[in-house]
Amino acid sequence: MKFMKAMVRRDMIHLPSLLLLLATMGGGIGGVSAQTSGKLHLQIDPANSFSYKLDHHFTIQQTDLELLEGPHHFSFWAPQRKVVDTTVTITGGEDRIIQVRLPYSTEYLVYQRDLRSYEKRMRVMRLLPATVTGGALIFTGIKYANMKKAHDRLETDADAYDNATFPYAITVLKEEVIPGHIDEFEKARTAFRVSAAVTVAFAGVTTWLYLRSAKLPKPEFHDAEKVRFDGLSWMPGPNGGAWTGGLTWNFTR
Amino acid sequence: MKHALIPVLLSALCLAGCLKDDLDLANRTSNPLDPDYDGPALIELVSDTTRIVYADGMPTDIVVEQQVHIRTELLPSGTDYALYVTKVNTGEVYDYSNPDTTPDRAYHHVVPGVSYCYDYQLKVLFTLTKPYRYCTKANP
Repeated sequence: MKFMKAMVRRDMIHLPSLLLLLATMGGGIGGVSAQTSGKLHLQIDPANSFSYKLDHHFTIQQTDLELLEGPHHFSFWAPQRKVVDTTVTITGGEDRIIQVRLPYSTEYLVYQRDLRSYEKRMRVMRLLPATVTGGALIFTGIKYANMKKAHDRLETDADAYDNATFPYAITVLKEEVIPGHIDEFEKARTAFRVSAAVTVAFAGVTTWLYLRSAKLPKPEFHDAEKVRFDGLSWMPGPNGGAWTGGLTWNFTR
Repeated sequence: MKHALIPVLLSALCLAGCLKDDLDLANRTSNPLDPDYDGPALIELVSDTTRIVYADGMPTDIVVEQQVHIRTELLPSGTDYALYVTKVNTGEVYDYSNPDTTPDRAYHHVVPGVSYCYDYQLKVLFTLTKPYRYCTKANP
């Protein structure tokens, strides 16, 4: 028995040997002899994260087993998937391949739906306003560049006035060129101020939505099937329900 | 996000405030060639006289004359100019950019006690600067 304990504790590396050994010992004790074994290869979807309980006792992840002939109960489970219970009958001396595709659990599908809804709301409350604000910021930048350009023209005009070398040039500057450029500058400045005000308003709305969205609870996935698989289950009832669990102890160990 | 908004707001306010229309046309009168020039006089009156002209010991004419000085240091270097004088009392014009213009622009046969005025301007590239008017009261 000490040898069996050691084998179980070492991550089921020698599980087929263990099972075979158990079967042999059981046969010896029970007086039933000449039982043969069969090999079983499991193809489970998902391939890497599944577990299963064999005959309600052993939690295993291996895909190749050697079992005594006769019916064996399997409970397959993987994260986010439903527990699938099935019984496989092993015929002595035969190799079998079992393919099981674990369906997604209802809780996971609900979680996925809630998560998509949450992400959509987040996009609406964060990404969309931020994009609009970014666009408004770029637009404001362009308006600022236009205003700066118009202002630079006025500075050029001022230099042209200071350096003018004959009266007619000054008259043209003061009566035609500069008034036109001042008008353009004022229009550009008005456009910039309007766009800056709109951008600030958008930024305020974006901040408000961002802070508001931070209070939205993110859906969390509680794998009820794992609880079921591990032995604890929720039993709904008229007054709310109750958790129930089963405890199994192997007295032969 | 709240902290990111502060620089955006400050930038917007700064950008909105830092570019002002500082080109005030009404107060831009510092170029001496500007017809609205409002600085130190470009043409200054140096002297004015009322003199009696005699011929054979007899007074034949009373003349009012003025001398002016052009402050070329106020002009951009290399400015090509000519004096342009208008006799206000008669409307006669003396354009010294024209080589045929007589240099004598004095008022002749003036009436004592009457004020005689000149408008002095510079002609630069066919256009005129601000006029400076100086008057002399005939007082022989």
